Amino acid sequence: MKSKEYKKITINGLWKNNPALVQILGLCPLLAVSNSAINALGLGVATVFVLTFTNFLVSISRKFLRPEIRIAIFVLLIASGVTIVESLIQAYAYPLYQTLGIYLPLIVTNCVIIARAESFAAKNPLLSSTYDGFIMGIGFLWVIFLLGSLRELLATGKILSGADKLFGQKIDLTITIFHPDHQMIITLLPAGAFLVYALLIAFKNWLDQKFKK
Amino acid sequence: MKLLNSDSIKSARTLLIFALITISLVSGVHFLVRDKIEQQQKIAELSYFSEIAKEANFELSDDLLNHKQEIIINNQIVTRYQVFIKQKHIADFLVASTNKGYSGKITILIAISADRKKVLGVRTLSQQETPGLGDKIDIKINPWIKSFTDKIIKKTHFAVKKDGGDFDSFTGATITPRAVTNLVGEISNAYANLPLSTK
Repeated sequence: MKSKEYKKITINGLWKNNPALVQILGLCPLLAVSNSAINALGLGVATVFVLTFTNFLVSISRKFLRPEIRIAIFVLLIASGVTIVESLIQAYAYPLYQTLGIYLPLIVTNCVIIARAESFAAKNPLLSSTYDGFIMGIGFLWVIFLLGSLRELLATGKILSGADKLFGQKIDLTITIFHPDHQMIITLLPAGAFLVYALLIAFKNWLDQKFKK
Repeated sequence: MKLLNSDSIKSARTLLIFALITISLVSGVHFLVRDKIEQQQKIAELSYFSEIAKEANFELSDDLLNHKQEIIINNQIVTRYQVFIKQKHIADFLVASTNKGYSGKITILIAISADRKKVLGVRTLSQQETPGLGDKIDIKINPWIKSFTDKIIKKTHFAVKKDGGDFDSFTGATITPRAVTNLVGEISNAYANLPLSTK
């Protein structure tokens, strides 16, 4: 594999074809779990695991795929991939499992996973597919983390509260940026999720246009 | 038959093979980590016990979870753990569950003093309620469940305020706190009325 190809995959996943900002995929978990930076981080990391793993599974079996049943096979592979990741997190990172709880199975509904299986992993060799899954996961991770941080910041003036849920009992990473007189609760509500998300997309497009000139 | 041409048979075979492989993968991982998960659940469960014990100022022995009994309270099977310190009966832990939540089973832990007059504390052990609404019964999300701490059983009306009781419910979610509150009330009242001699 050439390094040029990896560079292209990296740029695509992180920016140019970012799953959350450009492909607009996986909105259900993206908007539902981004109500705090820590929750977003947890789901983002889990998505990276799942996406890397499912791309690996799909790519390994791409020679046996038949076009008419490929979707059914993707669904089988993704569902079992998510179940396996869920079992592993439950066994080795129980506090994280308790936090993510219901959201872990929700990853299955993240369309970015089946989209990558269909458009990349089913056509490309094992290594670059796995790498693509990982990078797309990271692309999703940084957007959901930024979205979570922004929403938490705008609503409460703090970020990274509740880190103990992710990293164990006594860790407190809370950073207080300002003490709001009036909390902007709307950013924590579902409507606010859409608003902040829209602003993020707009900002990305603005940056792109600016650098084009 | 025309339907069963060789192509569709091939597809069916591939699908079958994939189903078999993925099922064995999932079951393989499941069997590998099953013990580990059980162990983790036990540790997590014990941490709820010791949280309540800390608030009520007594110590737990490590083998508490090994002395469990199944008893029938209020027509349902409840798991009971009795705490003895130096032969003295301190408290009882009861694990009970209800299906009256919004989605699926809610399992809670109720600690009741040895004289069966007081609820020492309540924790939610497992739930699948709506995130952001009903899941506030979980201590990690909201301290609401602490409102049961130190309630005298006979002097408390175990119902949410909407039903005329003593406990708050959440904005947008009444069913979940109602289910938990009613369960705590039913179990602790029935337990208080059990003759003390039934060990």
